[in-house]
Amino acid sequence: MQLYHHFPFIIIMLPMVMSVLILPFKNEITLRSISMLIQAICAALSFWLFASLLNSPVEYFTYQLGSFPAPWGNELRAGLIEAIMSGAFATVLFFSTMGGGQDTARDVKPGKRHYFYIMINLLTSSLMVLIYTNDIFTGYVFMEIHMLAACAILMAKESGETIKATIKYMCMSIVGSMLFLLSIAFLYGITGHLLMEPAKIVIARFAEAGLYWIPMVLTITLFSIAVFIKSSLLPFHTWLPDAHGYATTSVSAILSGVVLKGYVILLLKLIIRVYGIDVSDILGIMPAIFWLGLLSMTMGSLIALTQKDIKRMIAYSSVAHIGYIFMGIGFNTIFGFAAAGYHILAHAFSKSMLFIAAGRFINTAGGSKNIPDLVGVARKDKLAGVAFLVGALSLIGIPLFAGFPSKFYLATAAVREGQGIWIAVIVLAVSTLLNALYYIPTLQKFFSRDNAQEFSADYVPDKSSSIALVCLIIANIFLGVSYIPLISILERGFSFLG
Amino acid sequence: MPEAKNDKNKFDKFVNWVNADEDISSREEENIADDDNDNRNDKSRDHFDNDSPSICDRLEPEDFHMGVVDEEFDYSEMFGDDSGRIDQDQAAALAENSARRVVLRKGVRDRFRTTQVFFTLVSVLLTIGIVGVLLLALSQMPQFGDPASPTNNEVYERYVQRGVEDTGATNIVAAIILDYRAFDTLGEAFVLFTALIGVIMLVRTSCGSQFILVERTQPLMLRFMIMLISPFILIYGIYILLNGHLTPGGGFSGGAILGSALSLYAISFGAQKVRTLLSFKTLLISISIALLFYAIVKGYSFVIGASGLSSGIPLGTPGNLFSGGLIVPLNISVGIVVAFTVYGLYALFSEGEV
Amino acid sequence: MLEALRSNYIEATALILFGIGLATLLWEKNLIKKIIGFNIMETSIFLFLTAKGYIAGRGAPIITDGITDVEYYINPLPSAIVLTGIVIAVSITAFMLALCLKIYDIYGTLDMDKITVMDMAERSED
Repeated sequence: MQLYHHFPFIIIMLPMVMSVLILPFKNEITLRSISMLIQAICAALSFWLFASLLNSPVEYFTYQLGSFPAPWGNELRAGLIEAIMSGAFATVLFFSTMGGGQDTARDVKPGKRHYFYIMINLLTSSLMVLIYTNDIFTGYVFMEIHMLAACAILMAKESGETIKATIKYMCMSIVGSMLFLLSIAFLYGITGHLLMEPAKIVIARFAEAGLYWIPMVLTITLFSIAVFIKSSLLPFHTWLPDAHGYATTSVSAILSGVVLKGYVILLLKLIIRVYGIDVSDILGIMPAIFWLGLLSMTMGSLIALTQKDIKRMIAYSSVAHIGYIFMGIGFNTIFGFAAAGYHILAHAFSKSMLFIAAGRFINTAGGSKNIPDLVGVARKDKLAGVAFLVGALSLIGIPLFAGFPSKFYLATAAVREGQGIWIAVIVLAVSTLLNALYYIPTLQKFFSRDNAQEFSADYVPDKSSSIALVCLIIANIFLGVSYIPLISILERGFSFLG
Repeated sequence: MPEAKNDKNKFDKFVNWVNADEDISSREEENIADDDNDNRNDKSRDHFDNDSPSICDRLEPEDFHMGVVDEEFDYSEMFGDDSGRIDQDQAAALAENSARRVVLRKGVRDRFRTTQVFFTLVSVLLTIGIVGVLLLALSQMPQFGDPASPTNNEVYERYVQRGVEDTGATNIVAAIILDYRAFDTLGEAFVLFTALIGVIMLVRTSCGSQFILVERTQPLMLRFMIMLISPFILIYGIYILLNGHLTPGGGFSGGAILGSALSLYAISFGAQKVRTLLSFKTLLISISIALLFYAIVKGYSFVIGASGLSSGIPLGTPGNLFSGGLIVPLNISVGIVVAFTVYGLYALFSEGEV
Repeated sequence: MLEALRSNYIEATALILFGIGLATLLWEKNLIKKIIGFNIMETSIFLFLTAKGYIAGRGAPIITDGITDVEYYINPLPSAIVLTGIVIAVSITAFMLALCLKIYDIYGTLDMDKITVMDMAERSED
């Protein structure tokens, strides 16, 4: 048992324990620093784990939680994909908390700050469990903590719109959770296992014998729908614009960058590790995921075109990019999953940067969120302008930035796969065009010289958001240029995920 | 702006009411019947300026917790008459009285109606469809109570056959949730903690425990009976909690009973009495210590188990009260979390303050 | 299909209740009724799970008299799932009720229709 075998457990327990210990602190700087330290430690341990796994002869390992092996006790499982995803998400959480810190200090009332940071820590911990768990029911329990923590940080701003957005998010999320639990009940009813690997053996046996066909289709459908609702795929996206549009800056960045993707990783694990690629092919869920992904890609961008509020526009763009990820999953090949995984990383780093930059723009313009009021704002706040430029170019898919390799690989996966190849490539092209159609004019407006309004010099962005933006820009460019090793690592990881 | 104004009115009304020293019910009826804006402003302004109320000075209008003084707001007027139009005077009067400035346009109402019909239709079809599919899937599932169903596999057999020797507890369900699958229970305790913190974030005013609420005293019969019965309920709760590994029960049920005992006492004798024993700080600190204890003890157990070492905790003889290894301390900590969370939720919902 | 459902009538009832709860959650306008719908849904899943654990002719999984034979006890695992699930249901209900309190504070009504109209009207006014 090596040292790095204990890392998944430490990554999970440390934020959880810290969320309780953070209770006595009242000062905002202290609270933020402690939370950021915890997130940094999680990121560092994840990357250390990733490096160790790259060099180790085994591709993954399971970590038994307690003295009883699976299937009697709980267990965690760590492989390349889990390590890289948890590292990336912890990093995005770190920079989001840092970048939005000034706005958090303004938006959350003094008496509620320590509760806000308790929720951030619980969100970190539950996200890590969703990534590392090898047990479906543990995934459900921590999915509930994740939902409660996400709703709690959403409503910390306590204005009318955020509370209404929270209720909408919660109502839809609850439907998703109930469908997930019902699916667990059915899955337990036919397999008798709650852990992923033993369940897979039973399901493979049933698939060969042709038994329990409809229950198996039902369970995978219900799992998928639950994740669609929670990841805001069209047509279940209606909670997203309000939630991401009205929240405070770091919360928007966290929700859009990290919370949506945790569920996607869980779905990937369920599809690969519980059902297996062959069985899920036969069960026929993949075309549905594929087509809903395509629909989301186009409709999300189309609606984003009509938005005048900058944060809602970025939020609808999130819907579109989740569509990319699900389209990649819908190919049902290892390369498709790897391309989707790459887009998860690219989107996480780009979208959080966009939201932090947008937060700074809104503050510079004195609180107005409408794009006509933000004309020329990038001239005043140059760093945020550059960050927004990098993020937007990355999401459009310009080479050198993080979004280009993922779109390129999604197209490659379509060509390799042969299933719906032309429609996928056409929709990719159309969607890239649509992305450009709403990002480029916005960038033009931000950088335009002919603005009539003077922005008041009251607002000075603090150093932490500048550092966060610079680091995210560097990370974005790094993801954009180092795609060859990264995609092969992702492919290798996904082939051993099951 | 209009929001703050409305809160000031509510605050003034409350101050008025506190100082008036009257029975709660009659005061509420008077306020609801009292529709006249001017009348309200006059009365409350006087009282607020003259006396400093017997509430803490730091209380601000936005801290005021809704639920003590209620305002009946009838939005049916918003939709106007059948043609969907309301005249200018009505609109002006509504805009002034309402908590938010609302610009009423006919187009809004019609657009809203169509979405409503569509949404209802979709909901009905969706539900019928889902239930149909679920029942179809159920028809292919194993039979109810069938000994040969796939759920009765080696997992079930080991839990029953070796549960006692593995964990030392005779209640196999307790053995599962606190020993075999203890990580899920850790998550569950944290879900309770998350919900409690979330409710505190939303409901609790920032004024703290100096906020003295005027409470009605309950009838003598109720107080007498609760005084007699409370000790027995507490003893019963503790019994269920401690014997969780031997008979049905455990931390969650025992904690719920203890929490309801505390809530019953708070209902009949007033929360102020419970507050002397269990202030907000004590409650949070106890929950935190219990959760930390669970996390650290089980964390140790997980790390030891994963490393393949033996944990060195004696299992005791099955059937004894102090057997089952770590199960009794874990039951106690879970019980504390649940009891205080249940009481905390009751107090927060009924008074806005623990 | 109906014969199969007749022997599994407990689970069938649970699924119909799930549908009723889902309809209430989606269909009802009042927030408190939505929460009631959620509780019905959750309870129906617990009923479903508890029925899954039952084996005909066997008793509760409390080992008495040292008999650890499998023939005497029902499956204890679904009961453990239900225990965890009940606590989660209570937590979510508490959180949603607190949100309802806050919504009432701000909007003065608990009817989602009216709240949506107020928001729509305000947004079209900007």
